[in-house]
Amino acid sequence: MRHSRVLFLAAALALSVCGAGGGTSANDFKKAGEFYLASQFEQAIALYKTLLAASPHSAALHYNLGNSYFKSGSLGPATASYLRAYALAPLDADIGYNLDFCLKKVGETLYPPGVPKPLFLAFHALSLNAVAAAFWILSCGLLLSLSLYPWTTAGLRPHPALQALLGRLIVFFLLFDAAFGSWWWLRSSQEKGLGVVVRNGTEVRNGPGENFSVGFTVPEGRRVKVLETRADWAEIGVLKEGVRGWLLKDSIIVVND
Amino acid sequence: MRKASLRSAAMLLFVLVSGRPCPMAAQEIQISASVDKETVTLNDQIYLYVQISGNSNNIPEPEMPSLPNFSVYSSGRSQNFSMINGQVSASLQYNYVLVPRFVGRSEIGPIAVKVNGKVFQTAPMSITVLRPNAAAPPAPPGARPAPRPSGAPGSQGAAPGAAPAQGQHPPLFASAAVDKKKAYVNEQVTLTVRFHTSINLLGNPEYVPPDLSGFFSEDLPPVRTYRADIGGRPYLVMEVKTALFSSTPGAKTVSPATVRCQVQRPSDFDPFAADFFQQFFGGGAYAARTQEIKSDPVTLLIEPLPESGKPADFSGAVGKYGLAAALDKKELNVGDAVNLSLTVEGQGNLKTVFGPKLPELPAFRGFDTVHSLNLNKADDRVQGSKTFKTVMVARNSGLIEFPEIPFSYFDPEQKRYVSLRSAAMKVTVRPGAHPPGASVSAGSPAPSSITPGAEDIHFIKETPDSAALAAALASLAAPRRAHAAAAAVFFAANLSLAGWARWRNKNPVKLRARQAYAKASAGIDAAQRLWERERAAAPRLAPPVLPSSLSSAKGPALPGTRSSAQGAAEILAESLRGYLADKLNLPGHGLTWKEISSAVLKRNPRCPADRLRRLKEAWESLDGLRFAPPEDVPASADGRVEGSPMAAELKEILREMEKVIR
Repeated sequence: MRHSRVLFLAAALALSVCGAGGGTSANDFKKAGEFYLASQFEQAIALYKTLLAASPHSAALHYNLGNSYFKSGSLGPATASYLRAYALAPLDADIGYNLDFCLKKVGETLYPPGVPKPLFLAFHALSLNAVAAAFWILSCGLLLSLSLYPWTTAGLRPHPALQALLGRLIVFFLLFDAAFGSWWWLRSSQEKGLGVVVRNGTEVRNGPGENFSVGFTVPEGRRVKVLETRADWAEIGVLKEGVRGWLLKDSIIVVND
Repeated sequence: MRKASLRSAAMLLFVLVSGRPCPMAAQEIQISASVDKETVTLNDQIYLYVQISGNSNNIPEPEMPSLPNFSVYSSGRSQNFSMINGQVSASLQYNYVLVPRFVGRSEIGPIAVKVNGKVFQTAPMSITVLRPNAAAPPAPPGARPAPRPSGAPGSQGAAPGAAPAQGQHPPLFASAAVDKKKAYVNEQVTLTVRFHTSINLLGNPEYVPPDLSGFFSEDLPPVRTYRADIGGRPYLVMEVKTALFSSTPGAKTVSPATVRCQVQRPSDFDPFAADFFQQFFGGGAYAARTQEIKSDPVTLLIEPLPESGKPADFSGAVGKYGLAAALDKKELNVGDAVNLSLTVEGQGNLKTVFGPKLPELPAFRGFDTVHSLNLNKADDRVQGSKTFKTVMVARNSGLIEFPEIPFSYFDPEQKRYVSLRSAAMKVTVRPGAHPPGASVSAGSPAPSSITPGAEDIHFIKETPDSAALAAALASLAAPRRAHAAAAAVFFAANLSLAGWARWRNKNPVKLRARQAYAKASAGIDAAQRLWERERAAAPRLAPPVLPSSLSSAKGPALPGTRSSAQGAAEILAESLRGYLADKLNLPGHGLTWKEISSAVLKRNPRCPADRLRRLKEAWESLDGLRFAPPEDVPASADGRVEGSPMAAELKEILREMEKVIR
């Protein structure tokens, strides 16, 4: 497993250096941009969606799709696209700005009040996938070190220097693996089930059905967290106000399953 | 509104007045009064208009002076509010109908209004009342025409609405009726309350409006008076109309309206009674009593607005409306302001009409929207216009288009929603000296500062990014079960192997035996390196070779070669001895060939003899080489024999022994 992952990562890096583009057709990308420039946002959206089907991990495609949605007046899908782009490239200034711009339109902000901005940026400096990948790589290193260590004492030729080196490596892997594991867990708990309301004035009921009373309404573009699903209904919590209720599943886009 | 209606219709007096406008200016409040004519006949009526305007959102009702020569009816009020920069400007007009009671010259005293402890009042007006057959002079220029009550053409008009049947008509009665029994939420329902009297009243009747809780209400002035013949009896009818708008659906009841009046008690005056004079002077002929007359309650069914087909921008407007949008200029500079006016005009409850939602206009900065309301109640329909004005300051230059602005309402007649859109407009914005981010009144920022433009999202990415790294990270971030299982197997196998090796190495004798060849091989390599080093330093020096059986090359020894050859031979001998001692578990020192051969045969009785012989020759040769005098050490013919054949021979012997000694 270790070797296969290292090889895969090396191949991926080589592809990125070569500018292979991850399957994104440069011509179609350019054509979608021309649609956007001509204010033909529906065509731009359709083309960006096609490109994303082939290259779902492209932050630029998610970002451009978000722009097209925003210009066509769909705030909810735009915010969802920006959130996906932000998850892939959290250090991209354009993505952060546009996401914050959309959130401010519905009374939210990307940077939580009370949290220092540098701390927030540091917490989101790596994408969730990068944090998870680092955790697994460190875990592999830890396992390898742990499994090699006995050979330094029980092998044919005892090697005290190698034993000391492996000891240090084990401590290193243990500490960093614990740090990245905690980071990954915190980020996952925050981002898992994140969704965006895509219908303005969506009624949130006090139970999963039309027979339950309407507890409150949420505007399009608001971030919510999906807590539970049942048939066509989803229980959501509104992050800012801290209230919860049930709405129809098609009223939201789930950004991170 | 209901409260105002209650106040305004609280008194009904029959008086006759005429006069001319007499405005009176004040600092914040302006009050003026006017009449439609200054001369009137006794069977006619005049209209008195009291207008109050000022910068206040709480203008009180005017205080009417005592008017004993007139019967006074409140016929409602109309108002016009506007709010600019948070300052409320109101204009209210109170309407009264004055019916003269006596012939002659009468005066309308000052009409006052009290605001913040300060009294503002109009000048008095003089009215001339003539007999009915006298010709009234024409109305003065500028006087307002008297509105004619609908459904009551003059005082001889027939009484509209249901009336009690013949024989059931009391001299006084009141009725209430609505123009429709079923209506939609916020649709106008006109309530008509009529007071019928066929006798002379003493004093002023008091009108108490019905309880209109749950309704928005608007007075529909003026109060109509006319004469009607009901069941063969002549009546004087006074009619008060009110527009009702229900805010919620369901069955609603309008409570009875009440009229209190003083009527003459039936005379029990008897000229032949013994106490004739006592009755005459005791006022028996003029005794009065208070009578309270109530109309019947009215029930309405208010239906909710249909959900199907409701537009997204619908905000509750019900009626029939039109929408117009206008800009006060077509060209301006960046930083200049342009007024966008949206006017909703038509019939309906305009007070509850919200302004159309403006679309996103990044090129402009919009300020608060102010609205002004202009109501009129012609034909007993609440109608008028509501204008929403927004000051927009241009931020960017260019030909800017104001998109269509949507407005939706529900038409109760057609029973469907109607969506309107204003026409799109274009305005040319030239680059100007004004900073685009400056407010209208805030002044200009420093010229050197960056002036912010319209806020908008950042532009799209024009070059595709590489998603390979992100895809690789995503793959790494989501390990599959097979990967985890492989890692676990690898870890477990490695640990197991290490444990097994550790268990095996617990026996030091076995460990020595296993490591014997490796140690000996290392020693042979060291001897080889020693020879090579010596040769590199002094090429003429020849390494030693094994004598006779181990090397076929023999020759005279060369000076200076003995020490190196002997040193290397000593290493080789030590390696061989160490190997045999470790392998056979024998002490390293004082080892003899006899002990070695017996130990080998003991370990492997079937050990081939030739191998044992080769081992013996090597053993003796190396021993001999270590302790022999330098001149007896054999050398190659040219003195340049490599040491490697000896080392190679010895390694081969050891490899053979590895197979024999287990």
